[in-house]
Amino acid sequence: MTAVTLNNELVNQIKLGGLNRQRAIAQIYQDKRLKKQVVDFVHKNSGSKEDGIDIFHEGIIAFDENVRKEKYRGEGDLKGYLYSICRFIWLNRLKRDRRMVYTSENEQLDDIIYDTPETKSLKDEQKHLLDQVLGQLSEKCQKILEMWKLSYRMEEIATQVGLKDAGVARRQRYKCYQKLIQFLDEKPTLKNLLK
Amino acid sequence: MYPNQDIEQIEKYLTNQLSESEKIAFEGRLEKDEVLRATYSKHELAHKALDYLITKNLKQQLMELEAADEEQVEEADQDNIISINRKKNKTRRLRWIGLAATFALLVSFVFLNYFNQSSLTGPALANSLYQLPEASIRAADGNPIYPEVLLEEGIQALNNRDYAKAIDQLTQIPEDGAYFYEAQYFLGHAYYNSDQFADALKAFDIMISSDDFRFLPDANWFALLSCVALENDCQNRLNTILNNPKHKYYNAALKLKRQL
Repeated sequence: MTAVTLNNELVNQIKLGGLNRQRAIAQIYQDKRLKKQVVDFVHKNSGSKEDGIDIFHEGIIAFDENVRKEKYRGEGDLKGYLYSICRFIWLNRLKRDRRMVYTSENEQLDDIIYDTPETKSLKDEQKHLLDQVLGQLSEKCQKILEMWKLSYRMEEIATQVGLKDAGVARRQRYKCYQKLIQFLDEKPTLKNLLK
Repeated sequence: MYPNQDIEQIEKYLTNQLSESEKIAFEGRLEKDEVLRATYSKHELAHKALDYLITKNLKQQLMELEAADEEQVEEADQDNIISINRKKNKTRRLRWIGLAATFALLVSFVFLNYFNQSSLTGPALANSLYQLPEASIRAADGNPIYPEVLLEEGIQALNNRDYAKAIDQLTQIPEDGAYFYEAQYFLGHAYYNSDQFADALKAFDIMISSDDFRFLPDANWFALLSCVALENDCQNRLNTILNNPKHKYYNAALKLKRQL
């Protein structure tokens, strides 16, 4: 299989969602060479091994989101793209923390959020409020909504969560979603923070 | 547009299901329609909250995978340290037991060739190590995870030893179907038990190509047995398992290696 075919296949699997996405992410995670490249880069730029692993994870998460939101459609080399994301995240973290950066690499990737100390504290507040809102939903509701958002079929959702059938899952999803909207409505601060 | 249709449009817009022209039309409406805009904001916020949930859970899963990896590496390192110490002690004794070992080998060779009438090769060797695993996938609460009819019926047929029916059911699951790779795993077993080792090997290899870590160790092992049954060169497949002392079938692979 050529690299281009593999790129496209992984991207398509993530877009399909469900178990396909899980497999694709597992395959990317298991790329030890890529992980080592990221960890080595972070280590050469004032980071620890743990920082490197954390950045590798952050890179996969950002990559997953970019694919699902069609910000990356498979153009160019997937591994190169993911490596660039990781590099960008780390360099920005260094700048945010005002640590010295011994590299001339200064690429901008428009789709990655740049963290300044101000945006970081804003993000923490967003996360805190989101955790509060999501915490008001039952674990079952959270699971149903997460799986629905990740394009799992209703039959899969029903089985995973222990519901009778797809019809029941569909109705349950609707109720959980309405609850989520209601809880978010009760937090006008969050609305402003997420704009 | 009616409220329900508006919500449908909003959801399609937020999940990228609208065509370019539909998106432009919808965005045009959003600009002009305040009520629609207010409803849209609520749904947009809900989707952002779910994106956050997905990110948070993915982060957790990656950390758990990392922790599991590190545990394996630590245990492997411990084993290496122990085996290195043992090797150092052994070296002193090796000279003294060398002659005895050579003699023992000669005796074993004679014994195996003249007294062992049932040395196993090919299908017989593979079958001596084959065991049909519990052919069902169940969630923690005991309910089956795959309601897909063909897959369930295929697994049921496999459990009932009706391999022809299992093959018939499982080969109908399309390549772009949700359970294609899982079906290939069970299909491999159905073929294997019908002595169709080449088809079994092909099915297990398809499963392996999916990289689904739930089935990978098992698929590697049964692909190896299929290869042995075909009397092909299986060294690479054997090494895949033997290179990982923590592999589920490591001991079985060692046993197989001794017999090959």
